[in-house]
Amino acid sequence: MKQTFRLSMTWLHRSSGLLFGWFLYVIALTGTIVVFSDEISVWMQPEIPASPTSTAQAVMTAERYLHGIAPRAESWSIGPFGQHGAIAVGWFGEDEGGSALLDARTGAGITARDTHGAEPLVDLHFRLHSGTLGMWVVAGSGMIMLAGLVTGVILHRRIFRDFFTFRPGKGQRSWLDAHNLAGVATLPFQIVIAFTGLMIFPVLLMPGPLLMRYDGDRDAYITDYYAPAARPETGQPATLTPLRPLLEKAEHLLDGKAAQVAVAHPGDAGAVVTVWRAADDRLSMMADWTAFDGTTGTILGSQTRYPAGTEASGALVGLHFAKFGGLWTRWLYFISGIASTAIVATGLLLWAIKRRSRPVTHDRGLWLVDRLNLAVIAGLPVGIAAYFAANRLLPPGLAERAECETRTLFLVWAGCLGWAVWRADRSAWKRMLLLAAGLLCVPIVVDLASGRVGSQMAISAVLAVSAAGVAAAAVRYGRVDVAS
Amino acid sequence: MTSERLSVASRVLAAGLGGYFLANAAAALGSAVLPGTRVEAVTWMTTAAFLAHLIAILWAFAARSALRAWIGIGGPALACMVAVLVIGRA
Repeated sequence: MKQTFRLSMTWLHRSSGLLFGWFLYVIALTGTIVVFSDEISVWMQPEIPASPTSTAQAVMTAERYLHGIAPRAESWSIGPFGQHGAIAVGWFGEDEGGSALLDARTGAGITARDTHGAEPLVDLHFRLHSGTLGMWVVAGSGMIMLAGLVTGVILHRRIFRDFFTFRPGKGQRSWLDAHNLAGVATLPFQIVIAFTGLMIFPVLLMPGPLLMRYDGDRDAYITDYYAPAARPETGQPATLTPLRPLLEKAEHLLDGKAAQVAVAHPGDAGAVVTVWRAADDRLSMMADWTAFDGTTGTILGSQTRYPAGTEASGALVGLHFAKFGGLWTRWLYFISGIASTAIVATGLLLWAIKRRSRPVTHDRGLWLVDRLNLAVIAGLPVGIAAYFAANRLLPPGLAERAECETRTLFLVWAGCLGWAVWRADRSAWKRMLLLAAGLLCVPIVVDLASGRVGSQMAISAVLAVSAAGVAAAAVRYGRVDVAS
Repeated sequence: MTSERLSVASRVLAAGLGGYFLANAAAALGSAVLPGTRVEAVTWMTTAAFLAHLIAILWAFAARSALRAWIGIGGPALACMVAVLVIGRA
């Protein structure tokens, strides 16, 4: 395409990086944050009792509650069990269904504030909050990221030396050094996270083999490697056997802690109790299960082994979700995720800086890139910070409260886009980043005022450090040219 | 549209659509000839398909001309497709 292979790859790196950079930035930043999705979801419902209870206690509480409220439901779900004192239960049926959050010790209902927790951020991460179309754009961005990593390595003649090169305070040179340093230092992580991201919905994205061997029947394919035992309702009433002994038997059999329990047609002679094993102590995300006859308590089936390919792809998915190694592994992912975000951001800024050096007065391409850079790189953190602030500020009784929180994120972000388009000047970056830092402090202030900060300390501390980091970046690097 | 721009547009199509088709066709063929159970064949070949697409994308922009890019992607894709049709779905 260009004179040499290396120049062609350089061109590909720059063009595809620019076109997909804004998507990749959104994916990288939200992905970094949702490394702690479980912790964030709990933090967003401070009404949940903090001290953890045993799984056995939680199951007994849930069982008692479900027997009372929905003895003839088609199915019950209990869990997932978390590191806190609440247990979520759900019941499903043709005309009745519902869910509740219970105090795992007393069984009393907890009226926690209505929130989607980390879910909107997860939704932004894997499909840009745009359904199936968004999923395809994210998958395409993943392929572009992989290609960008390969071409990035190719266009580097001095990959080893760049590992040790950082020349601050030298304009374009410094941004390029930062881009290279972050990229080279975390290259293995970047390759793994892009590839394993694609492996979460593999047969959906690449249906060729599935069409060839299964006529495109995804359920038939899944059943071939994962089929928890099931049996139909008999119509004969029967008493459900206590769940706690089954839970203990399952944990022994599966050699690990239970993650979730489900009961199919409780109160019927055909009842089935299924226990899923937690996958947070090993790489593979495959959820081992054991199923019991719900009236006699005998084992109907169990699965802890899978075909080799399934096991391998379960491990690839596990590498993406980062649940396998405890808190410290997640911190490593978080830091590497900040590096991903920084690589994309510096890459986008570099394109604009390089373009600005051209002697052109009215550059419409640059005008657009400058504004999108501002609206996405600085605007998304403002939106996310506003989401967390809304969680603390919106009144608990508000109708559609959870939706209002989510809407706050997107309205504030849209406001940043408007700001970038109509009011951007040399201090816009600084102001927008300072606004994000300020909004990140709102939940801390509210928690301090309500005396709740004790149980929420860890996330509040992370928020404070993030706010300080964003503010420092705003003051140090906030003066960025914006083409008029 | 200049010939340069036309060439770029053509390569983008070759990389995106052509490469995607090649990856699926090659992986479908692979899943048909791979020994072992079909669930294993599908899982492994689906994984490999992503790498095939990546290589096709790089080829589309590394090739000396847009025509060569299309030959390098379309040729193998057609060959795989013909082989797939000969073997037939099963």
